Amino acid sequence: MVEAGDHEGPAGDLERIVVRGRRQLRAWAAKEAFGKAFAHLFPAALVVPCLALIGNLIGLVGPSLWPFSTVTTVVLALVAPFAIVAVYALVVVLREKTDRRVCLALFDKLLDLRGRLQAADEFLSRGPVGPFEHAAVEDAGPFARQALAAELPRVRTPPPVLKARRWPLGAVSALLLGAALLLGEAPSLALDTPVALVDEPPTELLALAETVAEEESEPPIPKESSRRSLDGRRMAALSEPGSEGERDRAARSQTGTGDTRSSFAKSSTAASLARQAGKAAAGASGEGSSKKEEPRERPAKPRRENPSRPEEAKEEEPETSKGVSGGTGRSSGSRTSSSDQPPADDKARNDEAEGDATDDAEEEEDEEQKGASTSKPMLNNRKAAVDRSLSPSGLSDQENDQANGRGGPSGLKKTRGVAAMLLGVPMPDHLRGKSNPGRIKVERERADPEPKTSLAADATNRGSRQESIGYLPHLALAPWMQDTVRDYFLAERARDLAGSDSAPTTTNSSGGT
Amino acid sequence: MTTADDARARAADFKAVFARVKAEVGKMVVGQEHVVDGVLTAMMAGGHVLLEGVPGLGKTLLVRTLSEAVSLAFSRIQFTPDMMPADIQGTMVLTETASGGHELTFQQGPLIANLILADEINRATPKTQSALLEAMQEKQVTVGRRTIHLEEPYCVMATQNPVEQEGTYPLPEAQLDRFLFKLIVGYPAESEYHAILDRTTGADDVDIGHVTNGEEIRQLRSTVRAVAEPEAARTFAIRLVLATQPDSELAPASVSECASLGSSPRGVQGLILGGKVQALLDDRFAVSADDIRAVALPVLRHRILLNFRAQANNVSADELVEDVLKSVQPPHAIAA
Repeated sequence: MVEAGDHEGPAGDLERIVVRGRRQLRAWAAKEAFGKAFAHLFPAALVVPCLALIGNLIGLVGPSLWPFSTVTTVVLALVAPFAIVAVYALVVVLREKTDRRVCLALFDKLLDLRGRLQAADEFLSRGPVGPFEHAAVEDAGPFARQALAAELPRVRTPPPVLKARRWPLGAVSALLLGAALLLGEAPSLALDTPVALVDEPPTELLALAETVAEEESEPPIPKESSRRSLDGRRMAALSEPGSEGERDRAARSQTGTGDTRSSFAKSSTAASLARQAGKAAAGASGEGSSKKEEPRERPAKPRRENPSRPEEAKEEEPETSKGVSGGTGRSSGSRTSSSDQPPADDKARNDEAEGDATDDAEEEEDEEQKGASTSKPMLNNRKAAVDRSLSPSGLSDQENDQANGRGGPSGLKKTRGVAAMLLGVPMPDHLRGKSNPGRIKVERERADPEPKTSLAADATNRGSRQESIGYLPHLALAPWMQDTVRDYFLAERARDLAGSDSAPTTTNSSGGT
Repeated sequence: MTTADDARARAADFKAVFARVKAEVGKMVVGQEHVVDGVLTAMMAGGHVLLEGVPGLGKTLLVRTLSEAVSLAFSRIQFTPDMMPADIQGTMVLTETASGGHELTFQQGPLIANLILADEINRATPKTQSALLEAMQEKQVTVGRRTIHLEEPYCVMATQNPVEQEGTYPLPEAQLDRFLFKLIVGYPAESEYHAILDRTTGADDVDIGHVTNGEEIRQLRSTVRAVAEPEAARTFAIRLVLATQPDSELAPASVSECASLGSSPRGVQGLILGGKVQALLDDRFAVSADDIRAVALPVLRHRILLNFRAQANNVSADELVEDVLKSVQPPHAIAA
């Protein structure tokens, strides 16, 4: 027997092999991870320029979020990609869990040991139970020492290559970095940029926006620090009498809002007004200023009317749905057609809001529509029933165009299957000239069964055959054959009667069981 | 003697007997080394062999020579379409006793022996082929109410001709699955033809001696079964078999497209048993993934049923097994 102490030799060697293999595998994994991470160098180079650019852009409207100077930004932009690549590779290596068996499999493969080390380690871990497992463990001892002494080959990983399609990312990152530095160093130039970014609204729309600003009663927002640092050029332009800036300021002072609204609010208001102006231009362009004020009142009007007439708003939707689904009523039909034309629809709604007389008329129309929906369908709209017969005579090329699932088989379908095997010409199933027997009527009558007496038939003897039956072929069996067959069947019968499963006594002279 | 020494002695004995039998068979059979190795491996593993090859390549000669070398009860069955199960299993016949009387006795068929050569097995009808099923799997023959247990070692070595398919009955899957190995017998090389001529056309007769016997082969079979099987080798064998099944996740694309049926669990048994023989021949005491890989082709090629697409594209089962071996890697394997 192999004692437990005998296994300490191979066990210790295997443990050292595992440690060595794990170190080697981690080194390979680090190389591989660095190679993979290096491919992402250019994308990583975008990080710092993007952050700097975003920080400086935010700094245009608020406190700058990029606190670094130009030199520091450049250094960060150069160093950060490599740091990101290194951290990525480190994370990959640390997450690499090297299994013990993988380490042993490494040496098994490198030294062509045919799984000896893995097998020995497994048998040692669970305790060898059979002679061959003991022998396998002992057999692995010399190979384990050989594995410890073996030089692991250096795995030559290909040098990290930057993919050509990612080279433009480097240029992009340089451009972004340059833009970020420019924004960071020249904030005064950058302050005009948001104004320039907004599309120049037409002067009419600007006037309209100012008019809207008059009506809005927003609380004043405190001035932001960045806006305090307006350059002198812009201030001078605003203070010039008669200039456009002066007019703007005068208008703002009249409304009381001034510079309290941000440029974003301005641009959004201008955009919304531009949309409204577009609508107005499509409808009634060239009208007076009173017409221009009409769109401003439209959104406010329903808001004022909705609380006063909630039930009417509820009734509008069923009416519309009825009009769409029914399609038979006169009023609903007109309503459906009007829904496709929003300006006309708006106009109709405005008309509805003018008086109650119109509502009464509409209720009458609804009642008419309900009555029409419960009336019978028109008979001239009825279609012939679908032919469900599979006979070829019923062939037609018309498909079930309704596709309502109620149709019978189409003409194409009838040409297949059993129907296709039938004659194309229908054959009469009765003889010509023979009259139809007509309907068969079956009537049942209640009647109790009546017993009837019958005479019993006496059995008679058929008697024996008197004449010769002729020649009967006789199988000439030798007497010993007859005896053997009779003995066999007698033995079989005796065995069956005895109920034993033993073999017949006349058999088993050779071979067999 | 320690248990490890005992195992070493048994392994050495196995290898010596294997080499002796192989050398003795090599006296008659020229070349075909992989076929001889496969036949001996299957016999030592306790399985049956299906030899496929065109006529004249020495399939029958190989089995007959092997029977002489191992000194086992040998019987040859030449299958024909009119052969009935009773012709191979045995039947009741009327015989005369020594005392002059007569009796019905059971005359055992050629199936009851140790080494069976089922020559041109695909010429027999499925009814007769099915008579082999019980003998090959359960090692017993049932005739009427009589059940005859076959003596170990029991090995069926069948041959079939892949060319002449007219008038043949391809073996059903259940029959094929019972063969441990399917070996393809190919043409000999040019150098081997000289040796064939020397041995068959010369005046000298080759004398085949008995180098082992049934009892020794039984011991060798128990030695094979005692070989240790690590978890890695077992897992690899299971994955290989799973990869032959078209619906399996491990199956490569070619198997999913071209196979309609994969290997049964008998395939795993065959892989492990054949791998154990390979391990013993390689002076090892535990089977490895390389041993499994070495016997994968003869074990799996006849257990994959090809579909119509494979036949239309002339894809063979061997190609599918090669694909399986490429796609399935042993557990904990490291890429080169």
